[in-house]
Order: sequence, then structure tokens, then C-alpha cells
Amino acid sequence: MSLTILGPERPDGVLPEVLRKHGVNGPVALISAGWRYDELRDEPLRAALPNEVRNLRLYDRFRLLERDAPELMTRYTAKQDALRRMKDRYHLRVQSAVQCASNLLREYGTAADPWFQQAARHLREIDDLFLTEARALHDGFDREVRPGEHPLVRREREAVRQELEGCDALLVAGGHVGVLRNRCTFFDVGPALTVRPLYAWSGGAMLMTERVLLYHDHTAYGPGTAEFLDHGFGLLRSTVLLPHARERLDLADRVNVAVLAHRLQPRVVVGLQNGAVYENGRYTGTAGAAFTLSQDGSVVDATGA
Amino acid sequence: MQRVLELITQTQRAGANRRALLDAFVHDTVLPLVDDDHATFFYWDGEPTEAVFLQHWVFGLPSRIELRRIPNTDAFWLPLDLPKRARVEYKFEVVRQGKGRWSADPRNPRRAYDPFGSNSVCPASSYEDPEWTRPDPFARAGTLVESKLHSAIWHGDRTFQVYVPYGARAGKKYPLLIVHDGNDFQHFATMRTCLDNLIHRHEVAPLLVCFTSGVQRNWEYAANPKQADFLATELLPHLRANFPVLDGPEFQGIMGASFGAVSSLFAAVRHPGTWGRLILQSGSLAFTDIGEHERGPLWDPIVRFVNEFRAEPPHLDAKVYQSCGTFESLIYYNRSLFPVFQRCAEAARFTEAPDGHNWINWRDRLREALTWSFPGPLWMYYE
Repeated sequence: MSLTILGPERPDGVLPEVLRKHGVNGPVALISAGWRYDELRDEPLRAALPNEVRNLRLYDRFRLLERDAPELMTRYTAKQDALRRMKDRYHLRVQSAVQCASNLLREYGTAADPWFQQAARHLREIDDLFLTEARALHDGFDREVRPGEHPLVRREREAVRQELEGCDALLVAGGHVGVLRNRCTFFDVGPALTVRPLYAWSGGAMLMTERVLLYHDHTAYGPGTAEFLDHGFGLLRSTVLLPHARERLDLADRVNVAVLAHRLQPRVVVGLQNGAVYENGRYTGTAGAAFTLSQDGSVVDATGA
Repeated sequence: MQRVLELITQTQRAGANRRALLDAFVHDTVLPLVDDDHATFFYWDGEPTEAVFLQHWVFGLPSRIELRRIPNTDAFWLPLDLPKRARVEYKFEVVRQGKGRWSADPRNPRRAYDPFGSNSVCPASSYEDPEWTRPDPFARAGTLVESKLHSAIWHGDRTFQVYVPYGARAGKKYPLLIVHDGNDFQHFATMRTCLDNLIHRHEVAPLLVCFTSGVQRNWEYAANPKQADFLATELLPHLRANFPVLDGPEFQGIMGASFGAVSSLFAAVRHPGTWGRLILQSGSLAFTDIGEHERGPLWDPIVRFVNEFRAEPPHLDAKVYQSCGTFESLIYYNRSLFPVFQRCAEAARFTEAPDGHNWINWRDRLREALTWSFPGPLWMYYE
């Protein structure tokens, strides 16, 4: 398996340069389902790459199934609704738990404090519970509904498989990471991710880790509480990726950083900015393009530049 | 203010060419002068002037404040405390030959517009136009669809515009927000630009926005049952029949400012379970605890309605976003009503801003109001 992770590609990216350096000259397949209704507006990418680009059209294919396979889609929607209800409960639990851990660290100032340690452990338990329950829900749906056996789904999955044939690489763009994950799992692209060189950026990169974390501190109402979306494909292990972390997180707040790092341990928490590249086990790019969030609340450059 | 004090000192020196000093000062200075937490207003146009007054709409201050004359000149100045992040709209009243005439500040290019004309604007040191209110070349614009319906309630046609978000696609349904004073919200609060930007940034969910405007606006919006019935039994069904509106009150919002806020709240009370999102900006929600109100007969139905509402708050199956400027006389009523909304609504949020009863204040609160009412998938996007 050859996996290359990139930081955000908007507004400026390094994908063309990386593909050139890797000698990827032939056709490439593209998953841009995270762009939703703009899925096929991939002209800028086509213009930037010398390669033939084959868009796998996962968002579009799903829309066709919404129209042509209503019974299946009703059951799928019911599963997603159940997931949403579960997330409501998760949100309630994790919100107060993050608040508690942050308050303890802010008030008493030491991560070694057993009460903080317990609070961080509690947070991890809540995250684990949600992810376990979410997986059970997805597994139950697959077991009971067997979407892969539906003739239209089989047809679309086969069409995706054929599109991939002859491609030298697979590109997975960012965007709406929830939609991206759902479409990728629905069309079972997991096995295809390891067959040929894989290049994933931003939301696409998040999806290649074991767990996908959602976060934003700068909303109209101030910091939100980071929470997991779901499992990812787990190709990049022991890592949580945070694209655009500098824009989305208050990294100057050491308590904020420390709580996140403690909560996500033993995984390494890596912020990715434009120009960051991860390949062969190391991060490269301009200084600060990739950085880790440390348990002491500091942010440490990971590029070695 | 220091610069004005220096100017005064210079003009009082023996032999000073006062006109030249004043001309040079107004030529080189952006007025009003704004320091950390106060502003200095200044008037000089070279003409003989008897007096100058600052006319503003800041509740708590005398609405007409006389500027001080710089001795031996026709120049006037006035220092005024101004909270950080505040924004004040004002005019000058210039008195000549015993007659006062209102005008914008001739030395201040910043203007705010409303249906009655324009005011000069004095932003405090920390106030900035929010960047999401300015046109963003990357934000793709929604479309505006002209529409009309024949209203049996109003005995005539009613026209309105419906904003359809960029990327809206066939077969998909969207939340709906109905806006009172829709023309004014478009023209004076640049609401379409704000919608384009906030939807583009995924902060607000793509939604349909119906901009409706009154004909006899004040009467129609003053807790008038006809308006509430028009909204619920004529306009809403028309919109549902002609636009892809999501089912359920949580996807049906109504908003307004001033009397428009009154009408929105009244509509929600009169048609429970219809409007699940309320945005009430600077609501003219006057009430009396004892005695009579002194706001004129137009307000009678409003005061009656709000008094009843406070006495026995009905259950509001809605999320309520409420805002008011701290420079408005209405701040007292709005502050008093917030705890009531907290008790009777599904959820309630209140924002106070150091601003007045004006369109820029209402524009600047749109991000909070819309993200609270119709949150977008901001958390989900990593591009």
C-alpha cells in the first residue's frame, strides 16, 4: 500500500507537484463526493494535472439510487436517523465531559492531577462508546439489509470497479467529510484504497485514519466541542488528523490543546496546513505545515524544516 | 480629543490665522475623531453659524446635545464617551438665522441608509464591518424569484421575493425563513449578500428565504391577527406549494426587526406549532406594568399583546433568537422578555450589541441569528 497524505489543497495545493515527483503519469481516479452537488466541478483539478482524471461520481451515483431504489434508501435513511439520534446523546455527554476536563486543567494547572487524569480517561470512554455503538449500527444495517446484494448497488459498485481499472492512482478530495465517508462506505471503496497509490487531502486524509474528529473553535458562538464523526478506513494508524487546525482551533489556548491531546492519546494529533505532505512515515513541507498537539499544551513542528 | 485641544490652543494664540488653521484641520482629519473609548465630533464649514447640535438615537443620552463653540470661531466640537465596538448613527442640526437644519456630517464619508434617507456613522475604535457582510467573490449567489399571490385576507395581490440558495437541486427540500420588511432587509441590511456568504461558508444551511413587505406596514405588523393569518394560512401554503420547503415547524422560521419582530412573535403565538424558528431583532415589544404607555395609539395592540404574553406566556414550540441594541429605548423591554422566552420557548438566545435601532445593527446580528436558527454543516467541511 502506498499512501500519501496532503494538507488542504484549497486555495493552493501541492498535488500536481507530488504526483509528478512520484512519477504518476497515467490516468488517475478521483473521489470528490465530499463536494456534494459540486462533485463534478473538477475542472480546476483537471486543468492542474497532466493526467487523465476519471471522476468516480459517488455522490451522483447515490442520487440515482435515491431515485431508483427507494426501499433501500428508506432503510438507509432510517439507519442514518438512528445514528443522528445517537450523536445527540454523544454530544450531550461529551460536551460536559470536555468542559469538566478543561475546567480542572485550567483551575489546577497540572495534567498529572489524578482528577484531570480521570476526566481525560472518562472522555476517551465516551468517545469509545460512541464509536463502538456507531460501528454496531453500521454492521447491523449491512447484516440485515445487505445493500451490496441489491442489483442496482451491485451495478454501481461494479461500474466504480471498472472505472478504477487501469488507473495509476486514486485521489480522494476533501469537502463534507460526513458525506464523503458515507458514499465511500456505501460503494465499498475500502478495498480499492490499497490496490494502487492513494493520495488523500484534507477531509479525504481524515478519512484514511482510524477515527475522524470534527472540530471548530471559531463559530458564531465561540468554541464548539470536538467530537468524532465515525470510524475512518484506518490506513494511517495511531494518528488523528486536523486539517486547517490553525484556522479552526484556538491553538494559543494551551488548555484547549492539552485537553485534546490527552483525550486523543495514545494517538498522535497532527495539524495539517496547506503544503503539508505525509509519505513514508514522515511529514514534509514548509516549517509548521504539519505539527503535533502535545499534552503539555504546546504545538510542535512536525516537518523538521 | 487631544488634536482638537491642540487646535483650540492654536486658534487662541494672538495673531493666529484661525480660518487657515480650521481649514487645514478638517482637510487633514477623518471625523469624528475616535480614540480608545470616546469620540470627538467636530463641525466647521466656514459659514457663520449660531449653534450646532448632535442628533442621535442613543437611548440614555439626551437626544440633542449642543456642541461647544471654539472661541472666536464658527467651529464646534463635542467629546462623547463611546463604548468599544459601539456604532452610533447621527446627524448635525446646524442653526443659522434662528433656524435649525438637519444634515449629515459633511466631513464624514461613512453613511448608513434606511427608508428615510441616510445618517452619518461614528464607529468606535474596535468596531469593524463584519467581513461576512461584504461581497465575497468566491461565494456563489443564490437566485431571487419574484412571486405573488392573491390574498383573500388583504383583498388584493401581495408580491414578494424568494431567495433560492445556490446549488439548490430538484427533488431536495430546504428550510424556509420568512422575513418581514423584506425589501428593506435586502437593501439596507444587504441580507442577500450575507446569505450568500454564510451559506457558502457552510455556517448556515442552504435555505429558502421569502422577503415579504407590508403595504400599510405599521398597522399590519402591530400584532395584527390578519397579518398572522396571512402568513400562516395564505403565504406559507403558497410557498409550500411552489417551492421545495421541508416539512415540520423546525424548518419554518419567521423573522423581523422592530414592528416586524412583534409581528413574528404574534404570528407564532396565534398559530402555535407553525413557526419553529423565531428571529426577533430590536422587537418593539413594549408593555406596561402599571399605568398607560405613552407611545401613541399605533402601539395599543402591541402593548395589549405583550402584556397578555407576559402575564401568561404560552408554550412556544420554537427556538427564539432575540437581539437588541443597548442604545435603543427598547432594550428594557427586550431584556425583560428574554427570561420569559427562556421559560416558554424550546430554547432562547439573546444578544445585546452597542448599537441603535438601525439596519446595520440588524445586519450585524444576522450571522448569530441564522447560525442559531439554521446551522450549516460548518463542522463537516474540510477542504
